[in-house]
Amino acid sequence: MSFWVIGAWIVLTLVWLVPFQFTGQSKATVQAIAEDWFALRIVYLATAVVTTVCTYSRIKKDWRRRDASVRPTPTEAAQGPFPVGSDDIEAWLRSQGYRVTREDQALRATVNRYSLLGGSVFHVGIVAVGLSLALHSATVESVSLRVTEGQTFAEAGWTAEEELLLPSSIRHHRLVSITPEYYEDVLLFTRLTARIETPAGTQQEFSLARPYWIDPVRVLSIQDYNLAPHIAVVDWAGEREEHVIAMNLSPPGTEDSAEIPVSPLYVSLIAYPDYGVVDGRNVSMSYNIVEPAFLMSVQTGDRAGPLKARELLRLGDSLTVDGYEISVPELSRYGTFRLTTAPGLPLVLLSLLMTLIGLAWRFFLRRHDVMAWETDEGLMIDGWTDMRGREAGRGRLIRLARQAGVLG
Amino acid sequence: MSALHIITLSLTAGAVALSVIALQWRSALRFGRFSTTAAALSATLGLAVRWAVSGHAPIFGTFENTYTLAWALLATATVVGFVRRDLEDLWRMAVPWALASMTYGLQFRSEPVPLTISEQSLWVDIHAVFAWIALVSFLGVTSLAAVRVIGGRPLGLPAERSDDLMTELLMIGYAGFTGMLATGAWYSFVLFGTFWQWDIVESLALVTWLSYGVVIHGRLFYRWGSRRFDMAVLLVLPLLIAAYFVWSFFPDTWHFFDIPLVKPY
Repeated sequence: MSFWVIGAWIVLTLVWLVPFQFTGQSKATVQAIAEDWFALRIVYLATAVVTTVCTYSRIKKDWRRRDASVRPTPTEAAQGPFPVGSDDIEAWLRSQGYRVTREDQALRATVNRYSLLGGSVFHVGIVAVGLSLALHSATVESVSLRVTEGQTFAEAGWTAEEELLLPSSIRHHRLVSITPEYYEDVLLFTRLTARIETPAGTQQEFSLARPYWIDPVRVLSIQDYNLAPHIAVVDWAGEREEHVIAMNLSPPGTEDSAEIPVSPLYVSLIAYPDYGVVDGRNVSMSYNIVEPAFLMSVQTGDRAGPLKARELLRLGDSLTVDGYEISVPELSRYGTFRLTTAPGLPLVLLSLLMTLIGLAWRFFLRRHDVMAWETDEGLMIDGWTDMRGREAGRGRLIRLARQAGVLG
Repeated sequence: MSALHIITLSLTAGAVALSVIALQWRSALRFGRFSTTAAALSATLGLAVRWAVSGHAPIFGTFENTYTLAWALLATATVVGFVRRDLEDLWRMAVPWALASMTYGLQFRSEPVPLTISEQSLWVDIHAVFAWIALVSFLGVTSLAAVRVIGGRPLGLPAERSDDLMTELLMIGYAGFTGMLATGAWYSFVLFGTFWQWDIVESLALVTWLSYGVVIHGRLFYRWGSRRFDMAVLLVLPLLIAAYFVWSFFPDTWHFFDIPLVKPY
């Protein structure tokens, strides 16, 4: 039964899931097939049932087998035992950590007799992984937010629903900086680090690969960064206002636009973080922020309004349109962060750990069985190691016997 | 591409040739073993130099992956051959895979580059170590199965001994593969907030893990005979190769490491 169920899972995945991934379907579509398609759901359920039933029956069997010597049988052992020159084989085996039992003419000994249960722990772990992942999916909550350098997380524009997820322990943390770095002049992202400051003034740094754990079930990760130019506007009355506008300007060449607060103007920007001119064209020489410059287009009203000016500005340069003097005095960055609350996380980790412990238990604490019996030629002994067979078992016995000097 | 890479490739090709020659002329085995050992040493040195130059373990991008796979195969065969006299011809099982791997890797960019941010984690390294343990073990089982299917006696071992060796390799591979999935799932949570994403690599890895699970259960609990066991191992091979290398020609995956070095203009 279990073969049919697992076989069905393999076949359905290969014929109905993998091909969609090759044909460029969106990740959401593929995920929907994998998680919501009724045939696969039946297979998942059947797998959980057969694995549970098999695991239960194995646990019972393995528990019963802990005291029984499964191999070698006297017949098997008679095919190739070796003699031992010790008068007290039982004492010797006990001294080597074996659990010894006597049967008629023979003596049986076992070490690591609970080894088989490691397999059961592994299988329980597998079932637990499935269940805990289901629980995790049902309870995990995740929100994304943009925080500009200098802002606290509470200032990041949460909806009321999202606000509930924001733990008080991080609400007043301030984003000091978010620092990207690229390798030489190519699009190879080598660093994305955020530095946050607690209300008490201590600073902590985390990166994309090493997120900030708020507590054991809540984690704050960096997803991305982008540019937030400070746009300063001085009106005809000399009134100056500066706004930090989070824009989508990276990688270089990306154009984004925004309304300028307190003016009827609309700007579009292309940022060159490492400005240079090649063949008469404005370009960015690399992706790193070195000598930033901006190609600024100003329209009245909105994106459809008439173009009033288009000029390349460096930091501090200004452009005057309809009596408004517009400049970019500074360039900040903003980070896109994800706050994940996962109450099921400890269970998932525990079950993953259980699978690994089960495997390690089964592999590194291998059961070893020994049988010894009297013959006309003297005392004979033979061994068997779980999963490695008689040859390995015999090899181990010979090593032990040589060390003890009892090999005949 | 370094001179040491070319030397390793040549020595590996030489070992493959000597393995074939040994079918008729047994004395070639000694030279083949020597060639494999020399290739393992050359690969060790080549990867060490690459590690020093790039500043990270050589496990990123197809070129490095295939080079490291070849090293893992050659080094394992060399060490096991020295420690276990009954397995001294294990190199014959390893060198064809090592040669195929390095030859495939030649098609990809070879200059060392730094790691991208998502690759800069110890979890990625642990994930890769489990992956290599699994792949080397599974390829070993596959070689033994292939020799048995064509009627040979792998490494000159009696049937019972090769059965035991295959089962042991299969279990080590399965443990490694499980470790790879567990650490990968954890790092996926760290990066993306989710343990599983149905990425093409993950889907194929899951199917491979299930398939080897079926083979192991068939072997241990349903007493599959050698023939059925060998055929089953060979049947899973395409899935194994696809799971490990699909990202090298299909970039729409989180596991894509051959990132094009695009300039901004």
